[in-house]
Amino acid sequence: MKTARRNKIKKPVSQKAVFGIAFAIFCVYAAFILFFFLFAFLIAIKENNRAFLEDQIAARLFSFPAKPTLKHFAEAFSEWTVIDGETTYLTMFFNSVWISILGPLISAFTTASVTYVLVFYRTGYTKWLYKLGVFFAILPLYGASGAMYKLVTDIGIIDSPLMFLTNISLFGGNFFYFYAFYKAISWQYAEAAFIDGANHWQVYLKIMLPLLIPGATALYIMGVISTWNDYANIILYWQSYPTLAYGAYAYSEIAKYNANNPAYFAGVLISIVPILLLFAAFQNTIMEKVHIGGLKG
Amino acid sequence: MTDTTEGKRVKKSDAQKREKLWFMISVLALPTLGFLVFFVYVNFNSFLMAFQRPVYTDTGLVEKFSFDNFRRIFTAGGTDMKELLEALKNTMLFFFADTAVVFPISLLMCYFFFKKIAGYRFFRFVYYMPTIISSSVLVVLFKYSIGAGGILDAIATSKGETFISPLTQEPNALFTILFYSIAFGFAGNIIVLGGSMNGVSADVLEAGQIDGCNWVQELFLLIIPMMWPTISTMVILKFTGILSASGPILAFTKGEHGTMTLSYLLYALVSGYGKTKDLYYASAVGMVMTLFVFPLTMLIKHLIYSDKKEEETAL
Repeated sequence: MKTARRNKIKKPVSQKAVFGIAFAIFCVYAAFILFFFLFAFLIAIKENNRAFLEDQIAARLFSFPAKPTLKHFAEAFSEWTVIDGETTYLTMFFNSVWISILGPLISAFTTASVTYVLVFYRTGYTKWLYKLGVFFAILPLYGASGAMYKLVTDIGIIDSPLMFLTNISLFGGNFFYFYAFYKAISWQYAEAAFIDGANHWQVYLKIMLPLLIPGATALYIMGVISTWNDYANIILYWQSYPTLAYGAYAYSEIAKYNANNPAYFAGVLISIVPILLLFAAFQNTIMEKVHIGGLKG
Repeated sequence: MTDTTEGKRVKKSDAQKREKLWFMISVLALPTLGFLVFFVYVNFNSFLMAFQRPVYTDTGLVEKFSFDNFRRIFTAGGTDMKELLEALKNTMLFFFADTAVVFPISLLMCYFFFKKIAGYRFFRFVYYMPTIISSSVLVVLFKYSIGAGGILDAIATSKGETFISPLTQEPNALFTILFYSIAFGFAGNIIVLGGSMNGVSADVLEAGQIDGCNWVQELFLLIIPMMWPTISTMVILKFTGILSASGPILAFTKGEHGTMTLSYLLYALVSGYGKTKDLYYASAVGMVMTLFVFPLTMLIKHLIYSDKKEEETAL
């Protein structure tokens, strides 16, 4: 389908006025969002925690500090250790990286493989599986988290990388996106490879899966971002592997009364840099390729 | 012997059929096992746990059949029932804010992005930032900016009033989190709605403009009807998750000061953050929630989808 082209028809004045008002509102809202990051930066460059407390008492935390400094951006790496006394900022960063990369990767590969079979290997069983997927997608089930917690505790996979096993399921995240995308791919590529003597795994891994990757990348990056930001599940299932998102939450809870706030905010700002860079790099892929009916190739 | 692959009948030997079968088994076996263990068994056990209470004996933990969890829920005037009703009320408020406020505004935002309003790439990036940044981080920034020493404190101080953080008193704590959820909630819809809008036919829009459509007519009479499969699917998914509607309660208040929601209540009962850990009671609460919302979801599904084929296409 063609994307909308910039029209050459002259816009009426009323429409220009509407777009002008919308632009002004958009500017205000963008300033509102960016304010919070500026606010964090202003705290991060305060001279020390004493300066922070003095400004807090005087109700001027958002003012530009009298003696700005960037030293807290270096201090942040050691300051966050106070959360549990041993986990460093860099360890949390490392945990964020491998948990965010591997979890969505396992989930995406599983879902991609399942949907591949469901689309191209049509049997009674695979048709039934698809219908089951549709059924569960709209089935409102609540409260299984207690039973899940009990199960992973009982079988001993909680608080270990074996928790990734829970990412392996028939109807994982993005099931319908992957299904719709495979529907748009021609089976003729596979048939040509079969004629050349390739087996099913070779056809899947070397021909069909690479065709999925351009579109699946957007969903994978969204999965990475979501996992990077998750702290509620880290509290439940990954307590020995604290991440930066958990650190940002835990520091504010644990170090309420003896916090080095400038160093904390510096750490908070550093923690969002990797994910901002990742998003900036894949912005167009994410914004323009994902829609609920599937992916545009 | 014939077999179907992608709907085409192709003659296949027994060896080829076996190879194909083994491939399907090798792909589906582990995910099927995962589904059976982590979905089917978990949900079945959740059902059983709703009717159990743990009893600690000399030999260890024993689960005994009991209706105590449901007695806790349905004891009129009891603490648990009051908490559940408060959580239900708050959950509905968050759902309403998301569905009736955030969703339509997101649609309008996407329209202006679609029409490439000046600076749309910058706006789109900035608006999506609340989603790519952990709510643990964003909540901290928000809490400090409205807390002691922040903007509200400065305003109160300038008026000579004593500042009290809105997050420490009812009902301001709830309204503050609702405001936060609305203010930072648009991004979640921008990707899906924007992607769907980009798929709208340019030819149809050009024809509309030639016929003199203004922007309101273009949006409501051309674009939204063409996006309807996406919008209807999003609406039904929102209703499916109606009782999951919530703000970042854990990072804000842990359910204190009248801010409890159903999804946070379940989380608190499992994690022990803000409540005493009780997996069995959590299962019973979850079962009641499911029974409550199931007919509603089916009704909405029936109202939105005119036929099954449309449903499958939309999904």
